[in-house]
Amino acid sequence: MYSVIIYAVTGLLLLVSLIKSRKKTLLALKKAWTSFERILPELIAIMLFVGLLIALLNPETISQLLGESSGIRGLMTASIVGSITLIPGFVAFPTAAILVDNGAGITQIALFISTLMMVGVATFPVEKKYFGSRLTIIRNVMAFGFSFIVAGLMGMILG
Amino acid sequence: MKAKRYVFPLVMAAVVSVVFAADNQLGRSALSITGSSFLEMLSVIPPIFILLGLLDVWIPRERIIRHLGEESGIKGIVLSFLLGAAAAGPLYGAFPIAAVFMKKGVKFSNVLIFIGAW
Repeated sequence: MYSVIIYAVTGLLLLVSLIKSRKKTLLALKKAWTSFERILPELIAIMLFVGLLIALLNPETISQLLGESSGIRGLMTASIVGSITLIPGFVAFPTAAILVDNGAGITQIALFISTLMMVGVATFPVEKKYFGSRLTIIRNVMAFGFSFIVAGLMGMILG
Repeated sequence: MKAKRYVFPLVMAAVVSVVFAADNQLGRSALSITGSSFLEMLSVIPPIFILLGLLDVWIPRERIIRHLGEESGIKGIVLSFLLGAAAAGPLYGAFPIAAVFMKKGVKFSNVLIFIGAW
């Protein structure tokens, strides 16, 4: 439903734009394609990866590893994977949705998303350049702790 | 540089092909999951990028700064909230928009309000 509306609105605006100026419309489309193409390689790779991952891990395995009753181990897995991996948000959210549909717990997935966004082990060298080591370590440790609080709250509210 | 960006997806494609050869059933279900998430993405992402392209071309930077920039005050906050609240759909649609807003000079706190209200 949402996609029908957004396609219709986009089509309409595109038509208006085309009537007003052909050149500007073409420029807009070119800009749209450039920014889309910029994320395309990662998007394709992650989608292949997630497809394989979900096919390999059946729902029982996922809920065993990351389900609501997976306990400390599930929380540790989610937070460590989230801290280390580098996945852009627009890919992480659909991935998280697929994992929840297949038996992962809300708390665990919230923890994964939260650490993914705020804790960056792989980006540490870059962050250090801007903030210095001390501040970078403090920020990452605090973000790691904060992720647990957020995930706990989300688990209580949504779980 | 351009070709290098496609190394990661090509490696993944190779891995999936190997899996396909080793276990046909598994490869098939992996590809069907990939296919359905790709379709879901296609139902949302392309129009958002086209809308952003149109916004970029038609609305001058000065106008956006005036309404949503550093000096926009309470009006900017309300407008960001309304824009975010009017939008629907998955949150990952909000991120490319936020990126363009930032490039166009929208105040950072207004960008955060926009994402929060999405």
